[in-house]
Amino acid sequence: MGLLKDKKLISLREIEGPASPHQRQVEMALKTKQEALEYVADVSGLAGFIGGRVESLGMGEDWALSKEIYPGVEAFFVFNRADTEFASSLKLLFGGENIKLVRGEELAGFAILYVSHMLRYVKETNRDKALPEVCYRV
Amino acid sequence: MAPRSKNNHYKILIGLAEIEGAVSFHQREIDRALKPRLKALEYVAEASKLAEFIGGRVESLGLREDWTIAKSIFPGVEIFFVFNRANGETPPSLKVLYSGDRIKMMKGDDLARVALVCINQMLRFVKATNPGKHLPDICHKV
Repeated sequence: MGLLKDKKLISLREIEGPASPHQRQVEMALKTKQEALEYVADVSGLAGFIGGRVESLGMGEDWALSKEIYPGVEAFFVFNRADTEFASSLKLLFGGENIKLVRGEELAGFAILYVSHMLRYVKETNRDKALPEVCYRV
Repeated sequence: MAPRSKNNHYKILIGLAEIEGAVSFHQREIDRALKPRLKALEYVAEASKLAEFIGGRVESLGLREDWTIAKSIFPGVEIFFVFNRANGETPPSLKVLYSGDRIKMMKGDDLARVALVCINQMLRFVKATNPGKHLPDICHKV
């Protein structure tokens, strides 16, 4: 398990600028999918399924995962379950020394692809449950 | 150095047409996108360095290809890029194939899109390793 606080992580907005169209695209895509991630019972199982690894931010997150896109280009997913005050939230960050080589559009595409694959894991590991509809659309 | 696989004899490789059906829309999308990118891949001098750059590995399919690179997208989901340089008779060709026991879980448009962005990354490698050369325009657009 890695410790994320020692890594420099940035969002698409920092890569593309404050008017990043892909940040909005990702936020919209994640919004419909994040609720399904409440059904993840085994984070290391999820990490294995997507070929990533469990990380620790040390910031009270319920779980965090990273996945290498290319050498020097990594996506980080930071999840907090819903509680009585807040809805569930999935934050997307990027890191690595080659991150600036890759276009925001492509990073957004990879991130959405990875989250879709996470939903396939949710579907695979919760066959007996009625899941959010988005799980059956990936 | 990118890892090199020695044994591909028992891998089943399929195209998008086998995943989506004979009239695969995304196969046509890939074919269209590959066309302007093919010439740029002629500038790859070392396939193993290219494999390393995209986080893949060199493979040998035994199909007389100039190079093949495999990249794992997820466990059980791999993409194979099979390249042949132009010769006096035929233009360069790049075939995109897929493999793995979870490949059927994936949607055709996801597989098509991820293949294209990996090829864009290959063009970034071409740009980075050929300073001072006059490269195809597409290299400067990725």
